[in-house]
Amino acid sequence: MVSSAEFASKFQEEAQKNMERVQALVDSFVVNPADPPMALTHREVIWKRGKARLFRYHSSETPVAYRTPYLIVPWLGISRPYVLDLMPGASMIEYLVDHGHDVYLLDWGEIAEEDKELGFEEAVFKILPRAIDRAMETSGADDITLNGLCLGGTISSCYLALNPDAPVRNFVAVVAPIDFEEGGLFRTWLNDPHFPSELIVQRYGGLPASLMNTGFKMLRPTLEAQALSGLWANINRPGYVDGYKAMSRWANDFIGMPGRFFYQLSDDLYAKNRLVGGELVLNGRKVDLVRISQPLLVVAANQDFIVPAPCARSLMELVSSEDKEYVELPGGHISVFSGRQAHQTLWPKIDEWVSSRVGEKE
Amino acid sequence: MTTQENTANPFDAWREMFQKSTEAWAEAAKGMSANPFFGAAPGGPMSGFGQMPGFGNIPGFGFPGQPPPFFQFNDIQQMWQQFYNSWAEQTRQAMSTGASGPEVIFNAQKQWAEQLEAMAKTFAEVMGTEQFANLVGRYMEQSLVWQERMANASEPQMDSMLRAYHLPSRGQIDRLFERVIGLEDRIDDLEDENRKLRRQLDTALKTPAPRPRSRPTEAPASPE
Repeated sequence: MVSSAEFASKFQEEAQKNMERVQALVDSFVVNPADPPMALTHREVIWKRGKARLFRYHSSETPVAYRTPYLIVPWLGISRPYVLDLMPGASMIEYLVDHGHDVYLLDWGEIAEEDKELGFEEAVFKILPRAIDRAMETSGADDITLNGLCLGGTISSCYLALNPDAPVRNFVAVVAPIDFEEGGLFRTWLNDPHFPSELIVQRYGGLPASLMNTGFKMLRPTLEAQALSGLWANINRPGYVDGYKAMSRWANDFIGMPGRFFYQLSDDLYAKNRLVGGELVLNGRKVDLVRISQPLLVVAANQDFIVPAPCARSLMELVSSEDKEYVELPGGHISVFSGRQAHQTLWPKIDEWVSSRVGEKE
Repeated sequence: MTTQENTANPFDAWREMFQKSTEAWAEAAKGMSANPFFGAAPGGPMSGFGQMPGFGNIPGFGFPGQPPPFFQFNDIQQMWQQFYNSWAEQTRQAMSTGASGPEVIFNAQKQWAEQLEAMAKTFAEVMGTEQFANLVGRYMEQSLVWQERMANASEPQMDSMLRAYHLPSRGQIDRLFERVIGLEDRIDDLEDENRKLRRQLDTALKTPAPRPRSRPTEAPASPE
């Protein structure tokens, strides 16, 4: 038991801390409510098709050290990929560029109702191969390292399975859903015979941003309370508020998902799990993941409730690659590649794994 | 008195409160499905609602000749109780493992985090059930059917109004967008073909060409 004097002193100390927190809260959200500047790594558009854009990133200080370009393929729809270049010092892209990688990002663009016909076929047969071509052409390289993130990893896996001779030297799949039977709550919801995927597509032409928002918030209803509680505890830590504001802005900046893509995702993948069984058919061709033979790095997150670790890990057993590695890192679906600890965990891992497999630039 | 005992009473009181309120809701909901306002009783004040053009009968709301309402209120009650029991148990555990006495004030942050984690787990447990998925699926299905019917009923009027003002309808704008996207795709395809041809041409120009022959080679003349 503490003495009453000690208790009073601790109480006063805590009250003082809380006063400082309130002051910081007012400073950060009332006096200076603006979001911090985001996506600051210098980039240029080198190709576009429809709404899709291919960006190449540059560093003003570090020259490109590796001859194989590093192409990042993020998720299609759902949210914007600027979380990959959130803020200086909190950016996966900036980290890789600063470590000498020639980084490209395929941005699928802001999806809306008019994109309802965009499905896996368009992504796998038209957009991705062309983006790869352009990246190679711009860098003067013969092949690339392909990094699929989340659904971008699923799309990339389909592409590689259908094009075993693709000019892809290495494949990095980060929190990419493959075995949808292990797909967590989304699997339970989308697998229900009453889930009206078809009606949603008919009515909205795709999954609208508002429904996407509701779906993701339902996955973890306490997430915002947890984030606010973290903010309260850490508000006086330098840089914490900027990081909170940037992440909070991104986490509420949802975009829609194209109708065809959403229907394929919910019906073929989440409900029928066709990718694992080799039964997914795109443009009349079966997607057989065993045809992937590139060196492979599979990354999962141990607290990922969107793509639980077993859902991502299954790629390891389905490919024929001899050089393959699986890592399960601490963090959630987004924090694993964009959180405060990513610069100590995922980013160095990718840098080390990729740089040991690509040649240095002459 | 242990923390476990301390926390037991409020939980029991809450349980009773929730129990009573869910029972009341269930009763009210049963009454609602039998209420003529929702069309269950033929000839009720809104019995014509189901026959309104573009609306039709809404399954689950007890229209004459329809299957019974899909909402099984007893199921919701069970689901809510499951949610509550699980949450209460986890919260009780979180509280019983925490510090007691004045230290509780200083550990409030930790306790709160544990509470949130416990709640998150409970939510995940409840929302991971087939029952919940079924409920959400049916709810969405119903609301989309409603929206579709509302849209079908109102769109012709809306379209004629827009036509009167020489404005395009939503369908026309959609078709226009589709055509623009189609054109854009065709231009992209042409551009790609063009690049491919140019690359082939560049490669062909770079590789040393075989000596041009103006006529097919002939067999050397045999010495006479």
